[in-house]
Amino acid sequence: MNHVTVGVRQFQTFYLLAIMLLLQACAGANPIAKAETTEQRAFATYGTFVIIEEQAAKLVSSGQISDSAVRAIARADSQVKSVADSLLDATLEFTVIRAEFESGGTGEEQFVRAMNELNGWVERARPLIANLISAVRGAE
Amino acid sequence: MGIIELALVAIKGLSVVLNNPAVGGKSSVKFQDASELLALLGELLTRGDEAHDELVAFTKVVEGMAAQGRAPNRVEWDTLRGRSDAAHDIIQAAAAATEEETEQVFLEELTKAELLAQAARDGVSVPSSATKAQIIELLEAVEE
Repeated sequence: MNHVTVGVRQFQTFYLLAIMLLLQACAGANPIAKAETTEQRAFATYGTFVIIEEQAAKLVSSGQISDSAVRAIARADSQVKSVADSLLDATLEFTVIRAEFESGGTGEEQFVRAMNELNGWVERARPLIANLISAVRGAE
Repeated sequence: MGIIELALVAIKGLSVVLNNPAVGGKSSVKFQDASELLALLGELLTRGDEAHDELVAFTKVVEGMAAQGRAPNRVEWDTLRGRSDAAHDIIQAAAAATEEETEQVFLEELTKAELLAQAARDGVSVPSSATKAQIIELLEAVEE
């Protein structure tokens, strides 16, 4: 076992311990991890976005950040807002299609297509939410 | 160092590890997602008790939903959308205000000759006796 391998192992051991601390601290603060269905996952993603967006709104209203930072937050917010609202609309549409599917009024193909579309919006929203977080972080 | 601070160090470090194949991380979608989520949690913890408390409360809502095996209802969606719309309006209004201030500063920095040239380009009629302040007023009135 060479020096680099030992170093990597020590590093990994440290992070295993760190993960335990992380789980202890964050156990009650991960809505996306608690979601079990596609609709709950969409709701958890949108809700997390709203919490961040409200933090951003408080920050830009505080008058404590530069104009360029306010504009950077606004740009990031505009990008994520349109995708997040599309995610919300896709979820509402999916809810109707699921109900129809369960009652036998809609075929499986349409149901699966709607679910895939909804999952697609969730995946599109996530990196944009991360961008908004970066803009807020950069402004603080 | 308290538990939150330690966790924060762990989150940020772990995020780096997951993003770096050289130190044991992977490039699979699963690991990228984990890294992204850790970064998000780290940022929320950094932002203090208020955001963390909100996230904890919201996590309980989702957890309850999962336990009941139900989908979010229309009222819950509408509430979230209303909150998002309100926050979005505040953010965009703040950004628009900074742009107006920037435009104002830009005009004030121009000489009278430059302002007259700007007015000509914008098709704004300016009396020859107009002062610099009056020309700025005319230009702003046209923009509004």
